[in-house]
Amino acid sequence: MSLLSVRDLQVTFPSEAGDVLAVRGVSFDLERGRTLALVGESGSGKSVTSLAIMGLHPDSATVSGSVTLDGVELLGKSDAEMSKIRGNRIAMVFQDPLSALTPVYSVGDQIAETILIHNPETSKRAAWERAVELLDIVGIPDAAERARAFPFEFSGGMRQRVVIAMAMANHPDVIIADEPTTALDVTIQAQVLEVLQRAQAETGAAMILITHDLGVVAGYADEVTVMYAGRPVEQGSSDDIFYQPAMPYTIGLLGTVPRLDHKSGEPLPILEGNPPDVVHLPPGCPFAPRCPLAAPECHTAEPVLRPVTAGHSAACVKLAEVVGKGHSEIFPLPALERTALAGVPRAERDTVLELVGLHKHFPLLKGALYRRQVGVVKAVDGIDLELKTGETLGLVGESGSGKSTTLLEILELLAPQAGRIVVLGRDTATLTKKERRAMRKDVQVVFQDPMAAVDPRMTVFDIIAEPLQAFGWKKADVEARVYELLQLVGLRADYVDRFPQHFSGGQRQRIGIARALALNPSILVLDEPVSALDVSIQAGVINLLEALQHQLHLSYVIVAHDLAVIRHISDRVAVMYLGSIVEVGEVNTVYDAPAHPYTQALISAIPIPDPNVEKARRRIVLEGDLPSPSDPPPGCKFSSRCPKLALLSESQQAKCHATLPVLEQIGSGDHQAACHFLKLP
Amino acid sequence: MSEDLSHPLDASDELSADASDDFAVVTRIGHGRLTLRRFFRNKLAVFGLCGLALLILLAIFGPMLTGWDYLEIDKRAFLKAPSSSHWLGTTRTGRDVLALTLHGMSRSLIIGFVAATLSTLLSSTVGTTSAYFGGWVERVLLWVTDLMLIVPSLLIIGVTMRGGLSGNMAWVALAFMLGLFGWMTTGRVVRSLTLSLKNREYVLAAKYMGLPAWRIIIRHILPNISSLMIVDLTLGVGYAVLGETGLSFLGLGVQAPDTSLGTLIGEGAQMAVTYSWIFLSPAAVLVFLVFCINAIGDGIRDALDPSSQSGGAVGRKLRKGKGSAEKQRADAAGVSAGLPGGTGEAGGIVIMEDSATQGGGSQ
Repeated sequence: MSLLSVRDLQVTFPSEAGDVLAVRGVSFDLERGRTLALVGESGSGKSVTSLAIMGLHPDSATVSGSVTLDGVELLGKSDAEMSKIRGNRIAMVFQDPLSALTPVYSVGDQIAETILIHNPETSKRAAWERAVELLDIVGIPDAAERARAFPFEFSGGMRQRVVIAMAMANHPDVIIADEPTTALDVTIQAQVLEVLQRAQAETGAAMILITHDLGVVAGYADEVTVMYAGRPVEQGSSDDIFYQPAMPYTIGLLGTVPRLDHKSGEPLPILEGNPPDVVHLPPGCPFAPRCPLAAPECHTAEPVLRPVTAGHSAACVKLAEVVGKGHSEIFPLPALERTALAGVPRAERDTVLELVGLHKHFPLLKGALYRRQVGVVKAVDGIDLELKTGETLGLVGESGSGKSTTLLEILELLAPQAGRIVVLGRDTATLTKKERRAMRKDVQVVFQDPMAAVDPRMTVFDIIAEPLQAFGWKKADVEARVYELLQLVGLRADYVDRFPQHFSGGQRQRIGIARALALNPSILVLDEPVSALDVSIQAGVINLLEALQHQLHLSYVIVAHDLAVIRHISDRVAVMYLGSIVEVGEVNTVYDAPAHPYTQALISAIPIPDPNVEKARRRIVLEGDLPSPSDPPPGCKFSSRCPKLALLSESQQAKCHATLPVLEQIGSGDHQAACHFLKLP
Repeated sequence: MSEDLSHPLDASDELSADASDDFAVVTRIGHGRLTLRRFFRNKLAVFGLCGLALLILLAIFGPMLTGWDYLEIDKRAFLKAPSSSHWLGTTRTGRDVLALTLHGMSRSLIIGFVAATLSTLLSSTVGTTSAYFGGWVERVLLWVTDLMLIVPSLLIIGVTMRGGLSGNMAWVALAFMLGLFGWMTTGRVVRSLTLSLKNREYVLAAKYMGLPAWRIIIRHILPNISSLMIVDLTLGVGYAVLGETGLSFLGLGVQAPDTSLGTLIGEGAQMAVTYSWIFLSPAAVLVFLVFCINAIGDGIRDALDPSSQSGGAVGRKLRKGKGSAEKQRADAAGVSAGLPGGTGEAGGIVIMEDSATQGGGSQ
C-alpha cells in the first residue's frame, strides 16, 4: 500500500460565473522517499490539489474523491482532526517565506511551537534544542544565536530555510512544497533546493513538489504529473515525461522553454492559445483548441489516461500517433523576418543610449524628528553601458544588484547624481523641462506584471490612446494609430472597448507593448516582460518582441531574472553585482565561457529542463546571500561569496580584499570582466 | 457586445468547432451590472435601499398627505395624543408631529448628504494630493489633517451655531461644518491607498509617457479608489445624520423654528415618559433611516469586494432550480478566474487564442 494515495480528487469552487471546476479527477500514489512533481500552468489546479490534501481549501469549496495516508481517509475529517495531521504527518513549505512566518515571534519559538503542539510531553527546553538543531541542519549559521532572531532579520532564502526546518520538525511522512523557490533568486534557489533534498533525506518523507519550472522538475523529481485544466494529462517517471512525452501539451510545453544551453537566433517554438476557462469547458479534450493534431474525435469526449508504457500514461485520443514524435513535427516553427540592419556590424551602428559612470546612491536616514544620515545604499555604483540601434542589451543579477534602479534612472531622464546618461546623443543633464517631456516619446517602458501595468478601469482604447492624447494628437489620428498598434502587436481591432480584466496575461502584456510603442520610441526598456507569464504564453511574447525589433529598428534594454530568456533575446549581456558590472559582452561568449566567478555561479545555478544533463551537472552553489548594498565588503564586492577565493594564495586573497577590480578585456571581442584573477581556472 | 450577449451559445460552439480561427468570444458582462447583481443578492441591502427610497419619497410628498404644515399651529390641540386629525399627535405648541417629523427627516437627510459629499470630496482631494506629490505638500497637508483631528469640532460648531448664525439658512452652515470636520480619517486612508497605487506600474507608465500629475490623479488614481469613496459616501451620510441629530438634540444644531430629527427628539425627550408620541416617532424614523443607510453601505462594500461571500455557494443555481439553460448562460457571464485567489475584479470572460503569436511572425 502506498503512503499517500489520492483517488479521483475533485474540487469545485462557487463563482459569479458558475462553478469553477478547479480539480477534476486527480489520482496518484506516492511512496516514502519519492518525489512527485505536479507541473502545470497557473489555473491548472496544482495548488488546489495540495490544499485539498492538507484540508486547507476554503469552506465554500466542495471536495470529493479520496485521499488516504497510510490507509486512513483524510477527506471528511474535521478541521480539529486535520490539525493533528498537519505539521505532524503532512508538512507544507509555502511559496512566500515572508508570509509563512509570524513576524512577532522569534524563529526558534515558532519551530519549538510546532514541536510542542504535536508532542505535548516534550519539555520546552528540549523543543528549543531541537529547533536549534533543525536550524543547523538547514544551514543557518550560528543556529543557537540566530534562533532568537525574528523573521524580518532573515533574508528570503534564509527564511525559506526556516520554513523547511519547521516542516521537518516532526519527521513528517509527506512534505508538500508549493513553488518553494519561485520567490527567490536563482543562486538562492539552488541553495534552497539542496536544503529541501537534505530535509527529505533526513526525514525519509515523500515529497510533492509543485512548480512551473521544468528545470527544477528535471533535477529533483522522480515522478511527474502534468496537469492541464484541472486534470492530469500525463503521468510517468521523470525520464518518461522528458524523453518520451506522449501528450501534445507536454511536448509543446517542453519545446517552448528557452534553453540556457542552446544558442539563440531562431524564434521560439510556440504553443498557441490560452489554457481554457475551467468554468465552461467545451466537451472533449481541453487541449484540443490549441493542439495542431486535433481531429473531430478530440472534440467529442474528454480522453482518459491510457497507459503508454508501464508506469507512464497519457490522456490523448491519438496516443499511437503522438508517441515518438518530436516537438518540431507537431508544432510549426514561426518564421522570423530579419531586416537589413541585421547585417550591419555593431561598430557601425548609431549609439542610442550611453551610460557613463552612472551613480545612484540612496541615503539611509534615521531618527523621527531630526533625520540624520547614517549610511548610504550604493544601488548603482558607477556603471558604463552602451546600446546601439536595433540591439538588445540584457541586464542580469540577483535582486538587489541594481538592475531595476538602473532602468528607473534611464526612464526618469533626469541628471544623475554622478556620471552621464546620453539618450540619442543628448545628455539628459542639459535638457530643459520641455525637452525632457518631448524626449519621453523616445524612451518607453514595458513592465513586468501585466495585471498591474495597465489601469483596470480603462478600456483598451483609452489605455493605448493615453500617450497619444498626452502629446496632443488629433482625435482622428489617435483612432487610426490605436488600430494600427493593435494590429502590430497581434490583437484584434474589436478588442478596443474591452477592459483589461477580460484578457489573459499574454494579451495584457501585448496591450502594454502597444501602449509603449504608441509614440514611436527608439528605445524600449523592458522590466521582466515575461516573468509573470505562463511558459506557454511567454514564447509568443518573446517572439513578438523580436519581430517588433526587426520591424521597427527598436533598441531594447531588458531586465529578466530568467537567464535562459536573456540568452534567447539579447545580443549583449551585462552581469551586475551590488551596483557594479562584473562582466559584459556578446551573449553567447558570456554564456559559453563565463569569465567572472559570479557569472559562472549564476549560470550554473539555472536548472536545465533535461534530467540527464541536470543530474550530471556540477553546480557551483554560492555561499550565503547578497551582502547589503549599504555595507559591501571591502575590495572586490564579490569576495565574501567568491568560490574562487579559496583557491588563491594568501597574498592573492589580500589583493581581493584590498582593491576593487576594474573591467578588463578578455580575448579579441568586446568581452570584459572585473576580476583580479581571470587567468586562473 | 450586445450581439454576443444574445447568442452566448453560438460563441462557445465556435470555440470548439472552429479551433483554427484565432478568435472565439464568450459573453461578457459589465462591471457595473455584476456589482448590481451582487448587491441585489444581499437581502438586507435591498431592504435598506427600499426603506431609504420610501423615506425620501415621504420627505418629498409626505407634506401633501398630512394636511398640516410643520409651522402651522392648531390652537385646539396642544399635546394631543394621535387621533384622526393628527395621526401622530401634536406638540406643546400645537404643531403636528407627523408634519414635523417629515420636515425634520428631509432636513436631516439633506444635511447628511451635503456633509457626506463635502467630506468625501475633501478626503479624496487631500488624500491623493498629499500622497502623490509627497515632500512639503504632503507635510503641510498631513499637518492640517492632524490639526483638524485634534480641534474640538463639537465646540466650534456649537459656538458658531449659537452665536452669529441663525435664520432659515443656518442648516446650510451646519451641513458644511459637519463636512469640514468629518473628512480626516478617510483622508488618511485615501492617502495610504494612494501611496500603494502611486508605485503601481500603470501609474509609473503614465508618468513616463509624459502625463501631468493632475491627470494621473484624476484618470488613474481616483477611479481605482472609487469603491472606497462610494462606501465612504454612503456610510458618511449615516454618520452625518447622527452627528446632526446629536448636535440638534443638545440645542447646538438646527435652530427653531426650523426643525430636524434631533431638534424634535430633544424637544420630546423632556416629556418622553408622559407624552411619548412626540419623542417616539422621530426617534423611530432616525433609527430606521440610519439602519437603511448603513445596510446600503455594507451592501455596496460587499458587492464591490471580490473576496466577499456574495459570490454564492457551489451549485447554488442548481439547488434553487433556477430555470432555463439560457438563464444559466447569462448568469455565467462573469469571470471565473477571480475566485480562487485572483485579483477578481470580476467582469467578464473572453477566451481567445493568444492570436498575436502568429501576428508577430507574419508582419
